[in-house]
Amino acid sequence: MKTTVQVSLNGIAFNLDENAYQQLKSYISELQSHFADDTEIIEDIEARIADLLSLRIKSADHAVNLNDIDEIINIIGNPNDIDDKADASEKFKKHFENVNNSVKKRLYRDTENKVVAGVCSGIGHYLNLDATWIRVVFIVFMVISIKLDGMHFWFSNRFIFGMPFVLFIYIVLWIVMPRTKTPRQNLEMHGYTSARKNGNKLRSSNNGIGNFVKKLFRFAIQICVAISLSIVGIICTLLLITGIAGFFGGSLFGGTNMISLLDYIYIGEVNTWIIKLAIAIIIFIPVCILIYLSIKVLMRFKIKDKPAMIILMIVWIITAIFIGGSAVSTAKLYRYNETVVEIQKDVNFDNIKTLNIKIPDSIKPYEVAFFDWNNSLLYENPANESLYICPNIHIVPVDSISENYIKIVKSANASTRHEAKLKAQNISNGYIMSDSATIMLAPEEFNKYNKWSSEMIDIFIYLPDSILVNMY
Amino acid sequence: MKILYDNITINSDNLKSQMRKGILEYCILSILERNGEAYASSMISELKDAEMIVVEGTLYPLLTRQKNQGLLKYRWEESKQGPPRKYYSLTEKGKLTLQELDNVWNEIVETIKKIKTSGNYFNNVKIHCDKI
Repeated sequence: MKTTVQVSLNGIAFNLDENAYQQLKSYISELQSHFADDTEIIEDIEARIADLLSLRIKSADHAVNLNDIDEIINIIGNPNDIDDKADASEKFKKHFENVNNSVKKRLYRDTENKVVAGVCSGIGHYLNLDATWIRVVFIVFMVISIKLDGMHFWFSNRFIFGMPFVLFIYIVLWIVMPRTKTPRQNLEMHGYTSARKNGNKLRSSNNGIGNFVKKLFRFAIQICVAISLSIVGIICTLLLITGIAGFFGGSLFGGTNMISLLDYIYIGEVNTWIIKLAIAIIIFIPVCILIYLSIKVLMRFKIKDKPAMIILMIVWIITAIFIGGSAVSTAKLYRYNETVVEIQKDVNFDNIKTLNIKIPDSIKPYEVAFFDWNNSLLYENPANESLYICPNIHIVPVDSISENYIKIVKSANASTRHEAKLKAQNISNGYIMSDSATIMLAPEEFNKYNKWSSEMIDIFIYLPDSILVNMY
Repeated sequence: MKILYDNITINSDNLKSQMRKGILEYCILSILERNGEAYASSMISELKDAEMIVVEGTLYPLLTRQKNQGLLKYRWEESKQGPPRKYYSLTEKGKLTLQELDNVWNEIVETIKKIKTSGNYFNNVKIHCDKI
């Protein structure tokens, strides 16, 4: 059972079923919005629809169905087929003649040329500036306002309701500025000059102060545009150069790059190149999207990029999950930390005045400062570029000679307590007494595949304070 | 680059539809002159037969425009079955405009003919030369 709706077209009554009624209603309202100021055209077309329907209907109680309406719409045509742009522009021009040159510019959102809500292009029309520049200003100041606030994201007074100040302004403008609905409003948005391309002077240029303020504002915006553009340019260039160089190049930054640093990450059975790839994806997808979007906004081109964006986002999320999962599984492998303490009593510092602590000549301190692992100093053998961890030396002053001894604290991480303890016990002492007055440190080679074991040696030397210590 | 290309195609489409629209307006005036009076449905069937229009709706904005320009007028006439219908006819201004359009049309046709035939002339010369 279907309900029917009775409508009257050009004075003839028709019974339409529910679907047909909805279709016809939306078609006519489409026509109405297209021929906004011409009720006559709509009436004529309605009359024609009535004609065509009468031909189709055999008896008065026959209900019109959706097929009938669709066929009729096909015959008469969609608003865009009927009345194309040439006609619309004529209507627009006619409108101009009607309003008699006295259109005052008003601030509207231009929803036909929008990126988000048409606020920027509305301001652009109002100030006679290309909307792109207004957009650039908005984006740059948005970034700056976020950057300035840094860590205090939620608390700073530059944020209102937890959003950047500039974003807040945008939303306020979005709410306050109306959308153009009628041709008249469209006209008011564009003002007088933009429709007449011959370049007639702005009409409002005659009224003194208001125009001066407007000019001043325009000038300020143009300066903002210039500043914003240079900032964007510099940031993009820096981002690209540091990003790519930092990742692959490396010679710029003291011989270290991300790729070689990532070698030190060893996650279970997984090969490190997968991790490298994952981290590259995590970093470069957002960077590329940012750069792409800013170019898109600047150049104002429209490409169907939604599917690509969605795919990129999915890839990014999968990668993030993969990295997170790997991190968790790695952390599990090194969950327990165990410490073993050994005490060497057989040292004899009785007869010496100075104690020498020596690092082998073959290794030098590793100069990349940020690579400071577990508070141990890293050393490097320049000959073969391998890294070494030096034991930590603690000198503990004691009063009497009889209390002299060396305590060695060794620790390691593993997946079980037992294993961790075994690992710790297997670590060498980390030093050799070459004679009674010299301790030769024997740094362990830093095994990059064993990084997360974090095997550590702390050497505590209990020494009378009368003895000098000489480290070199 | 694609944007530029789009603009060009839009413009040429625009030109084509404007041209067609101009000719369509000429056709409407001509039909009305020949018939004296006509209602929209009969004009539609005639234009459809001549393949001048594809969708019927195209006619209505043009009729309204020509009426607003003072080229057409209409009167209501009762019909035996159904509601009254609009019968369109030419105004004096419409008749004058049509004469003007006839002249323009003939001129255009002559010009095109001239250009085509002079093209033939050169073609003939070329053929002639080839034979020599």
